[in-house]
Amino acid sequence: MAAFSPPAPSYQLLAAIVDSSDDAIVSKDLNGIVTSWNPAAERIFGYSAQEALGQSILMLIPEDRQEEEPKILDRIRRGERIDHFETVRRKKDGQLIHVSVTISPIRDDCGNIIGASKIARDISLQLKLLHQLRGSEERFRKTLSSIGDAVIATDRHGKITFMNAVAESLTGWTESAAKGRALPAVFKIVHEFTRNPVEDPVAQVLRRKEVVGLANHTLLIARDGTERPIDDSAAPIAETNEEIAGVVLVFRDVTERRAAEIVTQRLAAIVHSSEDAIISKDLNSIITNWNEGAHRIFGYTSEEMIGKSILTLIPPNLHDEETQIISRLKRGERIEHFETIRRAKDGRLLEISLSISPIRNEEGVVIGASKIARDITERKQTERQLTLAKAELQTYAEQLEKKVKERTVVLQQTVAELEAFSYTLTHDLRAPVRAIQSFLQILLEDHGSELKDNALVLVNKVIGSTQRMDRMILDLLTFTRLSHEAMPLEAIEVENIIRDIIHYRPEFQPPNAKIDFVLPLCRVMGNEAAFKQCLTNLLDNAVKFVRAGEIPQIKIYSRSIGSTVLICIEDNGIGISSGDQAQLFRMFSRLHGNQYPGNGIGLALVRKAVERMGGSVGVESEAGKGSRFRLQLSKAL
Amino acid sequence: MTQKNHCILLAEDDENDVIFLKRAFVKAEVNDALHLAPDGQIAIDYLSGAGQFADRNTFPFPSLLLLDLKMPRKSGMDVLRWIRAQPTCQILPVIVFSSSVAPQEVSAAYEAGANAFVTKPAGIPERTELVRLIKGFWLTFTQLPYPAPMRAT
Repeated sequence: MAAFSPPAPSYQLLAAIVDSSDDAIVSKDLNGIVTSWNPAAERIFGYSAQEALGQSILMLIPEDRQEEEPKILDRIRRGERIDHFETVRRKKDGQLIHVSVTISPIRDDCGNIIGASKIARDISLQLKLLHQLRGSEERFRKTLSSIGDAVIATDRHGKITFMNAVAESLTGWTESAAKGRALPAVFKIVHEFTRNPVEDPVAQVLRRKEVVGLANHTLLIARDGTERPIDDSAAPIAETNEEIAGVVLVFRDVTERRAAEIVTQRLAAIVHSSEDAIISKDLNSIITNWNEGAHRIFGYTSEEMIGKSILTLIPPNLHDEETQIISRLKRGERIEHFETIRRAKDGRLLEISLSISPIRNEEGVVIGASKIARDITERKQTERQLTLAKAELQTYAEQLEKKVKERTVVLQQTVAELEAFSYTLTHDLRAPVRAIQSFLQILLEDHGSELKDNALVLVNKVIGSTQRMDRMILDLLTFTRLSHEAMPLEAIEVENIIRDIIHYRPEFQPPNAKIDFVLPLCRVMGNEAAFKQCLTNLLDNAVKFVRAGEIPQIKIYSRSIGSTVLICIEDNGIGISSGDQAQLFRMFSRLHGNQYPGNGIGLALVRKAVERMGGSVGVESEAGKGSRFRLQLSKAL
Repeated sequence: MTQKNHCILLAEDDENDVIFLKRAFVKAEVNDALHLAPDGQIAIDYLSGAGQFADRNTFPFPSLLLLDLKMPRKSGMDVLRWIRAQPTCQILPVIVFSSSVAPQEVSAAYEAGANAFVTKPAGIPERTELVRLIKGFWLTFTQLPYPAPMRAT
């Protein structure tokens, strides 16, 4: 063990300092054996100088830190000094204490390191205070971070020291980026309308040393250019000695509130300008709001009505209504389109449609009602007039229908009478015509030889005329019979009927005419007599209307179209100009003079017969190019 | 063929038809007596021998009746029904003459007891031909019933 070097001349003084030091001052040799131990060491570690001297310093080191010592001794041997090394040591009573140790090598006169001096300070209390401080700071930070408002703190020079998350999101700056910057660099604010910069609130606080609020309509421009209306206040952070340590700025995004304000303003404008009366009242039926529409409809101004009972508007016999309305409102019910009567200021009774909704306070308790009243006096009047008009119309319609029925019966009787009349007429007309013919025949037979040639010509002309007349009467008779006689329908063999017609009429046979038909001819539903009449008339026309000297050539064919059959009769005749086709099927319609004699009944008869059989007749033709007549009838199954 | 002497009653209101038929009888050389009843009631009176027809020598009971359907007072159908209801003349042969060919009229006439239904021919030659046929069939080959016993007067 190396001898302790003799003290310097100031030894007495140094020894006194060591003895009186609050810090433990201990020396040890390079083997860690304690060589000196002052009173403070005794106080801090609990060991007396007698107990500690000659003992290893390891007695002070807790088991889990025993490796510290060789490292310290290594560094001391290398001549290093260890400053303010904070560690844990064990007192004699086993209690662990936090210490701050400064260790310096001790050299002999030759400069050789022979040991180490240790100055240890008990920092347990200090640490405890520090922890406490840190804890409260953390809590403070956490509090500022978690509040809904944005918070920015600055130091006394207006440089940012803290920003919470809300402040970060509103400014677009992160705390780390903003820290140390002057507030105006991060917190850019302008007036919403003038867009002039607004004075830095922190600067104001630092100057005025008091809390300042922000003017209305302040816009915060974030780092990315986003603008938000904000509301803020800045307050000084005072230290104990009344000096300002910094400023805390609290602000919030009022975009939503501003939007809500705008909505509220708009709603107010709507209410004001509404055509309907919009009124609010409390649960005692006292009017609390009265818009312009209410003024217009009821005649009272809002000054007259606010504070008055709604009963002012309700006719006395309807006062019960209000009681019922209030009790329904209290149950939270809404009343929609309730039609009732109210009285205007001038005493007029108005028909109105009411919609009433409960108004609730923030707790959801019904505290009153809003009423929307629409004047429906005119509408109701119109409705009543409409109802009356409808009833009147209904009556007229019924009367009309009755009249139509009556007239229809009369008309049907008239038609039946007319049919019977025309039948009888045509029938009875035949007898005298035939008598005339017969008398003329007798005249010729009995007295023909006595007549001069001129007279004979005249008699023959009379005979010809009566024959035409008889023919016409016969056709008319057929027509009237086709019109009113029952016409039972049955399946008809078209081919047989055509053959039959041709068989009995030499004018339809060669060499007078050439009639071809394309087989098979479809069977149709019809009345045999009527169908025969139709075809006979059509063939009559086909052979009649040909150019002089030409032999009629006729082609008959059929085509099936859905549930119907088309029977076509094509001829090589003189044709019919398109202008004449429309009147072709009309009664007594004749297109030609004496060159082609006729009475204009034939095709009218065809149309009547086809229509009675539920079909239709048509023609396609061109002057000079022949005609094609089409009969369309139901197909026979 | 011997011409028997029959009495034929013609019930017809149309003077023209009477003229034409009489002429046809002449042309067809019918020699039998032709008596005329110008309406249905007169036909009934003649058959019953009533009033001016009581004298059967002047107005003998006919062997054949040519009956027009359309007549004033009593129609041909009325006369026909009356005839078939009378024991004295229910077997009298009746040829109905009509200008109609309506099937229901034809049926009705036969149902009422007509022996033939003839449509009045239109022309003079046809009438003569018809009368010739009537003469040949009804007045020559047909065995007509003997006139019923005359009513005692």
